[in-house]
Amino acid sequence: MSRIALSRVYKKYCRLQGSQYITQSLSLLRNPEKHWFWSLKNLDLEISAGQRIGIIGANGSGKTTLLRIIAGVTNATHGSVRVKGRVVSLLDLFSGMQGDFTGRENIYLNGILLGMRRREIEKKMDSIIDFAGISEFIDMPVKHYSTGMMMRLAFSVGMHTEAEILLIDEAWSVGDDEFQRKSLSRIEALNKDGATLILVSHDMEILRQHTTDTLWLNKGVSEAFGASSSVITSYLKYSHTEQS
Amino acid sequence: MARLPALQIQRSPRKSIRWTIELMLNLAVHRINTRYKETLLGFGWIFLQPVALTGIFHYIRKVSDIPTGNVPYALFAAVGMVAWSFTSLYASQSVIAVSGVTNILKRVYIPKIIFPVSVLISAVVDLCVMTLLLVGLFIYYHYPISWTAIWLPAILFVHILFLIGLGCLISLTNVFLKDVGQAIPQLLWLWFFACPVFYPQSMVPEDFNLLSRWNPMAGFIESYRSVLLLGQAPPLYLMGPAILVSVIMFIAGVSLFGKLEGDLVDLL
Repeated sequence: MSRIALSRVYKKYCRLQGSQYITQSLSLLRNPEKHWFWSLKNLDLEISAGQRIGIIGANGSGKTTLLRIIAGVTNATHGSVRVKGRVVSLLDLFSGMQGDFTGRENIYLNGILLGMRRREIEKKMDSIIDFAGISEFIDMPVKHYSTGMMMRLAFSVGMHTEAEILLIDEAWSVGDDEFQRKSLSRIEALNKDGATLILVSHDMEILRQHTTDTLWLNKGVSEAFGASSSVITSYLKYSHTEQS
Repeated sequence: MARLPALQIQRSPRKSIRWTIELMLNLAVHRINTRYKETLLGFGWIFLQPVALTGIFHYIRKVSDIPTGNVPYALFAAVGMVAWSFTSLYASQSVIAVSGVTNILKRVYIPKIIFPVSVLISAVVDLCVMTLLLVGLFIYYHYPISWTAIWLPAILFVHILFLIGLGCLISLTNVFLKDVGQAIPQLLWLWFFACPVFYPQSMVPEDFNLLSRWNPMAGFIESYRSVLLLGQAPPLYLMGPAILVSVIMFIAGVSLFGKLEGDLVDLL
């Protein structure tokens, strides 16, 4: 079963600020095209249930835009986007944290944002706190947390959702080895239950081990999509020749 | 460039309505908590402004002559003040209803209309607290509440319709033009004096009457007074225009919001 099917997807962003955006849409500027740039160009992608996909590419190559389109946060400009299944996106994990609130209150807010119901969160509360491993500090405002603790908390909430499509970016690499190992095995378990996994990372080792196929984005264009080991090898070769 | 394909989006399953409502309530509670977290007075702050202003109006009454019939002036002013505070609290908070939650908007897809609505829910909580002021004054003056108070939900309904439309417009425009955030406090201040809060609508000079009838707040405030203090039905010549303006505002605000919702994230 196909979970995600993108066909000829384009995404255009405006370089202008909000107020300039209005002036440019009112007064027809001489050269409107120069204020826009294409973050994704003519992208085709098909991902089926239970697949483990990695996404690689330099900064600004459209990785985050692609994840946001899959998550539905932003809409594509052209093309067809079909997504089937509950998407749980663990992007920008920290930004959702509310400093003045305790860890427990943040679990509720984040859990609901990730699509859980309050009763479900209550049931899983102990397990979430336990997984994060910060039970001593759970009733303390999170502004006093360290970055690692915050990430553990946010990630732990994400790990307790019933995701069918799981989007993960770099954030969790902030955790220590023990936590990384724990979350990787948790992700594997979710994947065994049929969840599709999409992983954005600059850590090629993790991608090699935990994904089967990898998409290589280069300036918004799909450069290659295929077996992780071969795509990663050619990506590394490419970025080395770029440097020299 | 070759012709680009048209946009087609299919997503399933849809977000459930019960989840959306739960999220909305949570955001409202969260907003209320944030405001009074680590303050000493807590909810007292909502109470303070209408109380202080009612006191000042009492003083203004002494220096100028404002006719209010048999109604105690404090009660007269307080009804206007509570109705006004509801509007002004909501309008000033809706400025950042969308632009203040960027971190949420960029992470998960949520129908964005719930942000102005959750601000409204927290404003309704404020309204309930402020109503205690009225209850206190009614008891103090032994003023009987007449049966016409059953009109209250109907007036409040139109008032809320107006506010939702207004809140959608304000929160939306503040994404495009940050000027709105600067302008709203000033405009509220002007609007306040244009509303019959501490004076009755009947004192408005003939020349301005045609214009001030179309101020929906005049309609709401005078209607609240009629049904609570005078035992009369809402004055149609004021409430009629208020209903019309509210419905237009609601439709305009909500439909514009729906239209631009998709672009919001890219502009924040």
